[in-house]
Amino acid sequence: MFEGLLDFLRSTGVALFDWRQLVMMIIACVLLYLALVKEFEPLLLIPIAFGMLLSNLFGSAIFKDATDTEAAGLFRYFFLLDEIGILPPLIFMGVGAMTDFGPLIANPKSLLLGAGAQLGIFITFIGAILLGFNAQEAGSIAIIGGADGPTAILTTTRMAKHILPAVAVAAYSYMALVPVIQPPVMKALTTAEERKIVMKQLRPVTKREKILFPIISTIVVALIVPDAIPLVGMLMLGNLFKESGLTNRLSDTASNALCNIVTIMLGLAVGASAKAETFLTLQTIEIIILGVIAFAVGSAGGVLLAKFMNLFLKGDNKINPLIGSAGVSAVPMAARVSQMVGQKENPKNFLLMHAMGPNVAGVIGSAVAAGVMLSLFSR
Amino acid sequence: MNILERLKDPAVLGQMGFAERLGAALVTAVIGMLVCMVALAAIMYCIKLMHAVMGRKQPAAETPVPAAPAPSVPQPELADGLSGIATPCAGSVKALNAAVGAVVRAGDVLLLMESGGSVFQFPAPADGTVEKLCVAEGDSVEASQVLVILKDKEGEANV
Repeated sequence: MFEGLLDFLRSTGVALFDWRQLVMMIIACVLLYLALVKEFEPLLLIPIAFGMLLSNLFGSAIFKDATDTEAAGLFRYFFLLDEIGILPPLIFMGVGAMTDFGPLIANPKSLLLGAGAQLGIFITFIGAILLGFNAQEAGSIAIIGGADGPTAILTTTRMAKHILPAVAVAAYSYMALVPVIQPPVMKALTTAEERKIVMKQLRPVTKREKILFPIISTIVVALIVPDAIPLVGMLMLGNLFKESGLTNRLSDTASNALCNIVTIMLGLAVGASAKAETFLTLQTIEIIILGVIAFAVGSAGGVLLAKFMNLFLKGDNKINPLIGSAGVSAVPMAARVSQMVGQKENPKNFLLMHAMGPNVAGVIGSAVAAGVMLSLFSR
Repeated sequence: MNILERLKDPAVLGQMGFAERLGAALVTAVIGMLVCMVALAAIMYCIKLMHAVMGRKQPAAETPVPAAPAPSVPQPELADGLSGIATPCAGSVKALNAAVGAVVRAGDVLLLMESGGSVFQFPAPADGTVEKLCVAEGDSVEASQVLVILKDKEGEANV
């Protein structure tokens, strides 16, 4: 009988104490605090942090691999749906069903800003390579600068699974910190005069243009970067559901119920994959530093490209460079930051709708950048 | 093996020197930025083409979507010394921070509006008094609708 009792005691959490798991539990609780109290992207950080907590409890089997005799842990199956590339594109479909590409169609120059803001990705890639990361890791870390959770998760899952939790946590934390990271960069690179530029009101966009846009852009992107098709294709499919006006049920499911279900599973899976052996490393700190560089350089890239374009634009066609930084995606937070910084300089200026153009272009841009990384380095 | 293939293989990358790694990473960055630019510029030209083609086929036949600026919104006649604060986009009034007759300073937030899930502020453009509130809390407003009318401090026009 004593034997049985001892066996039971050995299997309790306390007996399996490991200081590294304790550290992971503390990190999970800090993330929960950030999500619950500071309201840092709570929709994503709560599942991620709770998943991290559950898989790092002493003796937790929720993320263990399957053996010959036993099934795997619950979250391992959620993770499988990410590994085989199902979950992130489904989120992108929901994003598409929520996105209005109208401001982009009204001002197609926004697309260039959305591309310019991808500079952060590629500069960070150089930095990561020089720090000693391999190309697959560097590409995944760099995509943090795309400010797009599903894109970063998809890329990292395909190329460098072991750094996935660090990349995801960095990406979502920085997305919440966009209003802190961006304004200093935006102000440093622009003059007060530029920040006061009032842009002319956007032209009306017809329903037919909005319906054609997702179809045309899918074909164009597919021709140039086939590896971006899962993301861009699903994004545009969701958008077509929304704009067609004929598939309201599908668009409603894609943008609400399905997107929420997938967010829960993906968040838990990514959080649960954070294990002490791979997370409590110097690499994680390097990834977090590289992530903030990616965000800052991306914002700078958009602003600088807008300034460059202004050299060729006359009169009221000039672009307020503040909308350039919205090209890092992080919809709609980055566009709100453009609005906020612009209004501080000129209270009558409303940049929000203008900034939504580069903002949604940034979503396409970061998916294209991810496609480039995957086609160059995926093995 | 070209330089990108060498970069792709972690075993080979480990043996590459600093300069070689920098070179390979730079090549990647240039290719990546070019591809992004080309892809998004291609979409840009497609949109322009689409607009040009459709604009020629049906001139003004299509109705603009509601989110577009609606010039049909009635604009109140403003006497000298009064200025209206108009909204650039459609949305709903979230909060009114001023009452009729209130003295306001330039930059005071008069009204909060919600549009597309984000809230933004309408500050007073200059010192003055609130002449009229054209909307109530919770109202939906259309683009270019006047929300608040201000009377300037010295009674001069300020639009």
